[in-house]
Amino acid sequence: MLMAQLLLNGLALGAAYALVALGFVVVLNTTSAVNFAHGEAVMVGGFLAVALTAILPPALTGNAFLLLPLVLIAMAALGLLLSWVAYMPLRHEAPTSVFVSTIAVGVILANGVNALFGAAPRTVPPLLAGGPFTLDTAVLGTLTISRQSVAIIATAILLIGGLTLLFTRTQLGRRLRATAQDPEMARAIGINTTAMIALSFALATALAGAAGLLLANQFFISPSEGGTLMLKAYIAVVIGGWGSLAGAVIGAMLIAMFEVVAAVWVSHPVAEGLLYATLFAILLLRPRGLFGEAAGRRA
Amino acid sequence: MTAPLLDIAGLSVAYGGAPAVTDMTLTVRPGEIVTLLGPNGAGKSSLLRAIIGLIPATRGQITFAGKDLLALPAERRARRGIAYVPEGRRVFPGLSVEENLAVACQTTPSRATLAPAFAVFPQLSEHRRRAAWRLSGGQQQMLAIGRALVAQPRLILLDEPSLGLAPAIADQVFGALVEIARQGTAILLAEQSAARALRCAERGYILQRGRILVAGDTAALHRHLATDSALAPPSLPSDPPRATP
Repeated sequence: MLMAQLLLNGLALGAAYALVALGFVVVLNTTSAVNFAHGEAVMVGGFLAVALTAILPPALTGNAFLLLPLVLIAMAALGLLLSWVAYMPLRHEAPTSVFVSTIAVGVILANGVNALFGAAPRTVPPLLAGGPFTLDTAVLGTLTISRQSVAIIATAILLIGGLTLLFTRTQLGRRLRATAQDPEMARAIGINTTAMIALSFALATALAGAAGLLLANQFFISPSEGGTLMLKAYIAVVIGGWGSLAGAVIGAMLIAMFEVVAAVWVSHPVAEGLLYATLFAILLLRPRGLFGEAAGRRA
Repeated sequence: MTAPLLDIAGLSVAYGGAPAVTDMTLTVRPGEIVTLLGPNGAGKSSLLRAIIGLIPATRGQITFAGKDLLALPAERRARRGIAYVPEGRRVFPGLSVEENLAVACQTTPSRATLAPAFAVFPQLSEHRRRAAWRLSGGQQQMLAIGRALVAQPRLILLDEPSLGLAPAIADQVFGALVEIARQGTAILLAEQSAARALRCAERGYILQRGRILVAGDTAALHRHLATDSALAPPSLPSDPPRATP
């Protein structure tokens, strides 16, 4: 039963990490650039929720689920700004220019949040609270099901499902994918690739913000956390396969399982060492990552 | 005589600083197939890429349906009614056949908007859900031309459609081009395989080192190719020119 408990907790953490990794891949695919400010965007999403909780009436903020649409919209706007400031002016320059510009934006975001909120870790209200939700946990035999964990998983499924539908069932999604696969040919068939790139930054940053909101209740959020989150997204994408959306989700889940499940069996430092050993093994055995072959066909 | 749909005057294009197209003047009228012949490096692909707007012109004019194109980015040229089928097909590999067609529609995709592609290439309808990278070279070429058709263009720029295809498949593709032109879409066809191109084109241009060497109907192009051993393909003598309507 302990195993089931750990798996549930790991799934909740992995669901939030999956949103982070998906956002990272969405920008990676449309621009071929690594957005190093992505981790800070997750952190900003968490602090945005903290700020909204302080500003808005308690009736609206006691339940973080109600904050989610506001966080998504505000973070999408931040994503558009990020694309226009850190990517568009440098898109025809060497890739290192974008690396440096997004690192710079990340540092500005981290220090800006530190200046506004201080360095201490903060938390936001649970996703579902009050009203009919009178219990924080439900007990099923010896398994304690945290409502927040279930809500995190459900929210991530909703967002990932929405993203999947967008990419596979809409003309906008097809245009985003075409831009990701061959931007020059996308232009030649009439797609405004600049708009698609801006939109992918908006989508990615909105997903990062949602992840920040989900993580901030159970796991706290602090201004210096962006780098760690960025590294996790990067590892998830390397494990899953560079550019693969499904791979990013699987990679994120694997990281969370190491952090939650393996950490209980051994210890947190050993679990982290094992995670990197696994990453190394995957790189040796499948250099393109778990789903890298299919993604490689995109080019 | 019908007014030109595409009117290019004194066009020059540089590629990486080196001139690729120099002072080129040519026209394409509605519904006709015009071929560009010449060896590798003659400037055929550069000319097509400059017309769609993927590389900038250094001087000259490109007028399409009476409107100047040079100030427009590629995506707006496409929306004006120019479709581009590049060398190597460049279908979107991770998108299915149906998605490759749908994404090129300038209106909301539906069965009706995709129908022109399936009508010209019925084989594609058997692979609607298959990812484009899983198709054979010939099927990918059909998909690339089909993708151009669903945009309902007035002009298709077609670069080396027979490259890498088995002769029977290449013949099938060229047969489809004649049918497409018959329905009113003009085609500017760049080809190294002069024999096939001259069978389906009405007139054309022979390019060499970025300049037009010869312009004329297919008979004139045949005559020139027959006397120029550097340009004449081995199969040429047995391929009679297509009669100009």
